[in-house]
Amino acid sequence: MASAGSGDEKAAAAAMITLISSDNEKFEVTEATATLSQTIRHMIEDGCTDGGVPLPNVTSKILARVIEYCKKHATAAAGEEGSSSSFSDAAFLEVDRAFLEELEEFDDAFLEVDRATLFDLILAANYLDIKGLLNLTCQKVADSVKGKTPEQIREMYNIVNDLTPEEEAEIRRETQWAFE
Amino acid sequence: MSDGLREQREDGDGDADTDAWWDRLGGDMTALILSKLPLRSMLRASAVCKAWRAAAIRASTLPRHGRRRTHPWLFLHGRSNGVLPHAGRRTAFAFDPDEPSSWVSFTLPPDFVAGAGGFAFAAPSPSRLAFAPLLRELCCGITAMRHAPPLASPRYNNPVVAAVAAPGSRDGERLLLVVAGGGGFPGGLVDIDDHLPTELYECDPHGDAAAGVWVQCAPLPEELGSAASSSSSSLSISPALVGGRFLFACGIHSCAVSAFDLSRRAWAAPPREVCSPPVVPRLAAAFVATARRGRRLLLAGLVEEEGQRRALGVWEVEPDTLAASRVGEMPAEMAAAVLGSGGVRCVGQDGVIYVVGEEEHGGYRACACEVIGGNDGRGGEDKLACRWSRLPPLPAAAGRSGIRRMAAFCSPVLLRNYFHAD
Repeated sequence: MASAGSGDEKAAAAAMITLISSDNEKFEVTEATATLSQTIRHMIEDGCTDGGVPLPNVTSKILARVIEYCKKHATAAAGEEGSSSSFSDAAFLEVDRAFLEELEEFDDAFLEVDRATLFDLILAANYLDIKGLLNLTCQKVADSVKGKTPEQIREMYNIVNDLTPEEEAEIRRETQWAFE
Repeated sequence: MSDGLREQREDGDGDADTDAWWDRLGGDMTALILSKLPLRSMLRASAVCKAWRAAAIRASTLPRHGRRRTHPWLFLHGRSNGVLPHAGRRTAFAFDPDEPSSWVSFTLPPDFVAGAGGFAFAAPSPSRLAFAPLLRELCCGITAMRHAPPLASPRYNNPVVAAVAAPGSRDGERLLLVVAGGGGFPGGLVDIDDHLPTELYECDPHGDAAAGVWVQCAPLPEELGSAASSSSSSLSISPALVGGRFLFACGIHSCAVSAFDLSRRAWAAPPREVCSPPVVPRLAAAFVATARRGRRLLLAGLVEEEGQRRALGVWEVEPDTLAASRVGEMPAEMAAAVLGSGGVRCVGQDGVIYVVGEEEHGGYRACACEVIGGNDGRGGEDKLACRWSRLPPLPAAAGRSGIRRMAAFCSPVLLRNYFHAD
C-alpha cells in the first residue's frame, strides 16, 4: 500500500480498495477506479472500507466486468485531466478525440454480452451508483426495444400482456400513428 | 431468491425466464430504460403490459439522460387555399430525428392553420384559435381541442402563429401564443392593407385555455412582406427566443428580418435585409436559435444565380445588428438531389434546419442540417459547423397528389403531452 513518505497525491493514486463479491471473491482496485461508484465513494468518505467492501448484491462474474469498465473510464478521465495542461489546443483536441473514440470502441465491445449479463450489469450499476455504466447499459436495452411493436417486445422478452382490451384500446386510440 | 433465479438461468434454455429479469429490474429501472426511447417507441412500449404502462408514464417525467435534448420534428402537410375550409381531415407526415428510419403519417384537423411549440393550431372561424398537442387527440374530434377566447381581429388568410414557453414559466408550463398577419381576403386575391395588430395570449395549455384575454400589440412591420401576403406562406416567425425575449420574423421572399420584443411587446427597429449582395438568398427561411446557448441565430436560404446550380446556405446572424456571416453550405451532391428545380421549403428550430425540395415528377425529398458548436464546447467562442444528413424517402402517399401546395413546419413534440393526465 502507500508507503510512508510519498507525496499525498501519489499516496491517493496508489491507495487500494478491496471489493468483495457475493460469492466471496476479493478484487483489489485503485481508489480512482473504485470511486467511479458513488456508493463506494461515500463508503470511503465515511471511512468504512477497512477490511474490504462487501458487495452482497454483485457476483464475482459481474463485479469483474464492472471493474473492467471502471478501470477504463477512470484512466480515460485521468488522461483527459492530465492532457489539458500539457498540450497546445490543437494537439489537445486531437488527443481528446482519440480518447473519446477509443472509449466508444471500448463501450461497444463491453456491451457485447448476453442478455442475462446485461441485466445483471444494470442492477449492479444501479446498486453501485455508476452513472455512466447505468446509462450505457440501459441505452443498450432500450435499443433492443426501439422500433419494435408491442407484440415483438412481448415475444422477445417473454412478457405476458396483462392489459385489458379496453386499456389497450385506450392507449392506441389517441396515438394510433405510433402503432402503424 | 436471486440465487434460485441465477441457477435457473444458467442451466435453463436461455431466454425462458426473461420476464423474471424485468421483475428483478423493477419499475424504476424499467422507467429509466424506457426514458431513453424516442416517442413512438415509448408509446409502443407503453402498450406491452401494465408494468410497462406504468413505467412509461414514470419515464415521461424523468430527465432525458444520455440524450442531449429532444430534437424538433419536421412536419409536412398540404396547405389550404384559405377560401374554403378543407373538406375532411388532411393527411400529414412527421419525421422524428431521434427515430430517423421512417416517417409517421397522421391527420390534421380540417381547419389546421399552424403547428408550433408542440401544438397544432386550428382556426374554426377567422376569430377563433383552438389547439391540441401535436400528433395527439386530433383523431378524437375537434371537441378534444382547447379553445382560446376570440381574437380581437379576425384573420381570414392563414395568420402566422408562434408558440413559445411564456417568459418566466418553468419548463413550458405556460404557453405564449403570438398571432400576426393573416389579414386581407381569403386567398389573398384582393390586395388590401393589412394592419392587423399582433396579438398575444398566455395560457396553461393543460388547464382552462379560455381563461384570459388577447393582448393587442403593434402590427407586423410592413417591410416584412407585401401587405396582402403577410400570411404564413410568405412569412415565418421563428420560435427562436434569443435572450429569452426576442422572437424573430423573417419574410420568406423579401428576406427581411425583424424582431418582436416580448418584454416590450413591440416590434424592434424596422426590418432589414440580413444578407448583403452578391449572396442574397432568393428564398429565406427559419431563424433558429442554436441549442447550446439559445442565443445564436441562424438563417438558411436558397441562393440561385442565373444559369447556375442552386445552393443552400446557412448564415449566423448577429441578433442586434443582423449582420450575417456564412456558416456553411449544403454539399453539392445533396443539393443536386434535394433542391431540384421546384419549390423549396426550409424550416428550423433549436439548431436544426430542415430543407424540403419538390421533385419534378411529384414527391418530395428532404434533408436535415444540425448546426453544432465546432469545438466541442470547450471554452471560448464556439465556431459553428453544419452536419448534413438525408432524410428517408417520404411514404408514397406524400406524393404531389397526396400533398398539394406543400407546407412545412418544425416543432418539438412534448412527452408530457402524451403521458400527462388531463
